[in-house]
Amino acid sequence: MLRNIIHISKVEWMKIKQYPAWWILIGIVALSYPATIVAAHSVYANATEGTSDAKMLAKMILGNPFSFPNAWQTIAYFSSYFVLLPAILVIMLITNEFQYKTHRQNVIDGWSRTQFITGKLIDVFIITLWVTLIYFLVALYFGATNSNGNWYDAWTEFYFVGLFFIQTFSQLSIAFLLGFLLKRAFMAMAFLVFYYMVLENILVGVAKWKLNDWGRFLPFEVSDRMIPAPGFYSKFSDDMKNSYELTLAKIPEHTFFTLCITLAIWLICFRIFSRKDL
Amino acid sequence: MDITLQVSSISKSYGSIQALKNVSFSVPRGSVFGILGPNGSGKSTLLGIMLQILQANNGTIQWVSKEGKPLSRNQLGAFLETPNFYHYMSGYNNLKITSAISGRGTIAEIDAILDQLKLAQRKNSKFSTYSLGMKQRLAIAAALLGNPSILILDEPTNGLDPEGIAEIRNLIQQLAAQGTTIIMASHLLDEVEKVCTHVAILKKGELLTSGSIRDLMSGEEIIHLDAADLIHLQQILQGYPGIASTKIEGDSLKVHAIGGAVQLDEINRYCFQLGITLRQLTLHKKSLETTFLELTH
Repeated sequence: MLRNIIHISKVEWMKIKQYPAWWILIGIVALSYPATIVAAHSVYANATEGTSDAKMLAKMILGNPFSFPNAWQTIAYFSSYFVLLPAILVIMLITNEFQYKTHRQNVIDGWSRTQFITGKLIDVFIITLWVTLIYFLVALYFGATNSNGNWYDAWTEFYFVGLFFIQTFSQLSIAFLLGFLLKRAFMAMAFLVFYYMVLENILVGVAKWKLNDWGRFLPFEVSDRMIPAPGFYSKFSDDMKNSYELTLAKIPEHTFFTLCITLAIWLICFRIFSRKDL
Repeated sequence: MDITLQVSSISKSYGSIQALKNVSFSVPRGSVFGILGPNGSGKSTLLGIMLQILQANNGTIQWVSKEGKPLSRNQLGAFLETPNFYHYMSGYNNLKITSAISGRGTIAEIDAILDQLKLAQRKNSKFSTYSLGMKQRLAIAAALLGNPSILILDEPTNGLDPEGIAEIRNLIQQLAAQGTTIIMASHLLDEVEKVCTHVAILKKGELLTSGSIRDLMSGEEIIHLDAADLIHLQQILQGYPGIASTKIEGDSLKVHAIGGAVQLDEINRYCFQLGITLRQLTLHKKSLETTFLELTH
């Protein structure tokens, strides 16, 4: 089994290391994630650095979400908005195979259908690892530079790294499913952007209003709720504090459902690919 | 007979269209086996099922090694329909992927096969810059890599110039001489006749016939005869053993004979003994094309 995975990984690496879009998007991810956090941090610094009453008040309310241990959550939350960038890469890696019919050739050359999809699973895994590494380095840097050398509780919220990995893997798996089913990169990307940015938000809103918040089980929403927004607002009132604590308490439940959805996505892909004509 | 592939009762439908209907035949080891049929007869579907990229609704495909065991996939080189490669990669790197997946061929063999298929000079160019003929050659190179014991080729001469077609024909004959089993689908009947030892003929998904080309084409022979008195000649030949029918056509008598049953020198002697001197006596074996057209129309 391990030998098979190593063999498939080697072949996938041969495919992607020469793919220009791979290096371009990997580079864009490596630049855009830190750039976003730099921008968010600068908004925070503008609001809080200084001696005016307003800035002192802002600092008192906000605290420092970029210092340890909050940095892990804050930076995971802001970074998660950029999942569309690696999602483009994931979609291209699968739709290219369909476009050039190389999925068919891989099987003609002797791969089983399971080996082919395992290769794509490995691609998504590698991209997720890369995105998580970038997030980890950014969070480590901002946490270290905003904590005044205090590493005492630097690792108490380190579990957000794991949550960020699961969230990214899950959302990239949804992108993969779209590319896998729609087969054309443009259609899959258009549908992903429309669903992720418009349709699911509307459905979640409607479900909150009419359907007892059933929208929390929608594929992006369920994994979004694994990493809640930093809880500045919890300091305003007890109700808000309770609401925030409830959100945090539900993280394990949302993680469980995210894992279930992700597993279901890959089972669907393996099953469809093992039965269809290529 | 030593069989390398047994196709048993294969059926395949696409929705309401039945692409293959209960097709069964066997491919002898070491043969050059042509799968023939008009467009839409199910040739590529059959090859796709052999290579497991299409799922049959019924039936089985069994590849058998020399030792009588199920054949390992790395013994099988194949090229189906269109050359499928990664457009952003060079021909050389595409073959490295073929080699890594199939387990066929080494780096040295990749260079050798590219040289043999006249792609060595462009081996580092991106596949997307190749001409149609070069793409076709690369696909054949990928199929040949590592010298597999079985080759499956779908219209291997498509897109090649006459020189390229002759080279591929020679290559197929060389490989066949080395003992490689070659299964090829083609609609170029004269090509098939030149290289194939066995054929299966399909029409609208049904297998019309399969077997050795020699047997297939020995079913009937046509003899053209000419003499001063054609009517008398026709009368004496009507009862001759092995002759199925006679017909005067223009200045000669056309005789349909059962394949192999009639010897020309014996006919000549027989006519002479009965007082007829022949001015023409020629045997026309049916071409594969004639046989094919008779079977498919």
